[in-house]
Amino acid sequence: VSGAPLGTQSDPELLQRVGEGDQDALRELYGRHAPWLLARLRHRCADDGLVTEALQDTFTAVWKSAKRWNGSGEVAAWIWGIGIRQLVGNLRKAGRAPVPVAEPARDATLVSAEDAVLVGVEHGDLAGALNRLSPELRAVVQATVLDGLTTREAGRLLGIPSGTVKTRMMRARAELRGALA
Amino acid sequence: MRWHIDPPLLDRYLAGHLDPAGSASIEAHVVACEECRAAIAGQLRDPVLDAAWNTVADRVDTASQPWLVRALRRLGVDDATARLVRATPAFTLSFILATLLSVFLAVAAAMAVGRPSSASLFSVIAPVLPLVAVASGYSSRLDPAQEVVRATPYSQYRLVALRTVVVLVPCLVAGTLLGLALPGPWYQAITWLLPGLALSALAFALLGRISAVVTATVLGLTWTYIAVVWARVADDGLAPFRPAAQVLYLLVALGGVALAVSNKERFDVAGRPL
Repeated sequence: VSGAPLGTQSDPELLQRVGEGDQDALRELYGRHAPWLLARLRHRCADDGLVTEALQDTFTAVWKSAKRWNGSGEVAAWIWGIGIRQLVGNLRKAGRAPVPVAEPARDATLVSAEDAVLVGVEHGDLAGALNRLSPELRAVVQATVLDGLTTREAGRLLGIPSGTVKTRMMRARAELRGALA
Repeated sequence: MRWHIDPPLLDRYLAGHLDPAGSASIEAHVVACEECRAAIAGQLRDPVLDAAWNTVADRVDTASQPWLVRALRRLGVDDATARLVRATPAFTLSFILATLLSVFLAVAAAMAVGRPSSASLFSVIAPVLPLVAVASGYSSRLDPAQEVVRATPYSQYRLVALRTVVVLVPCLVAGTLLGLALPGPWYQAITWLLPGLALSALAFALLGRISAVVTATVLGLTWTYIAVVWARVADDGLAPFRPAAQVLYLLVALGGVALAVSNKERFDVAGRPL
């Protein structure tokens, strides 16, 4: 691990070095993971100040807790777990109502073909069903199923009580099931 | 063989123009695909990234600093000054141990011989402790950061003042504890404090004019001589530490500080080539 240039080292190797206090390894890790994390967080919150803060807090937390990475799974997934929780935590600290990201303008003809490939759904149209969900229901599916947040965390991110998250999730599940039946 | 996000699709994702299912599948893919993460890193040239990194680097840097530097920075001292204060020789463990040990041995030796009362002896020797610590903060021979200090373009006066204060606190605490630990009356733990402060203040004032080693030696010897002679003449080992004398030390301390403040500029001019 020690001799090889940082650029050629794997994420787990870098993370191990970060855990040993190597700031250059953190810089390399940041270069690899900060861009996509920034892009993804921007899809969750339209307030760029809060997003930037979450990005900074994430890599500060990576520095502090690199030793606690259990060594299994993707480093990227671990970083995302920290990132989305930093965003949720900062939203709560700021006491601010979350800033939802604007819905993209639909150009359905262009999108749907790729969606089918991307999601790999050839039998039921899961992507279509997901896109057809109301924004409220879809946000809940995204936060819980795709982002891996708990009901409570999802509630904070979306600015709704966790009870509402649960009921919306049940409705979303029913609609998706109906669309795929 | 493996699927990757093509550039136009990535553009639409980054611009936020992709529908939710498309975004979700890209995000799921990115977590597992190193190449596509690199593609995003190549595409997203956002100044936010550099700015955020600077903040992270700054925090990480602060977190890895010694606690004293962090404490000083929290008090509003800038980073460079905090590091220079931390580099004060008096903070190296060997320096502290050596100084404490010499005070201890001097007192122990005198007591073994059974000459003057331990209380007065400790009170004579202990004030030299802060004096040496303060002076060492400005000595070219003792200071590992002296090169940096000299090359630093800001006020030497400010640095000496800060180092003096920062050094005095642990020094006074250590001396007081030592006074309590050594056999003798309890008040020997405090009788030395004002003489110590007076010597430190004088050293602080003189550091702008005379080299640190000379300052410490002259002041230390003068003080010891005066205290011993005073005790002899008065035929009272505690004479140099009675209330009237303490008032005198307080005045000397205040005078030393006033002198140092009025001579600020000398630190930058005369103080440099120490």
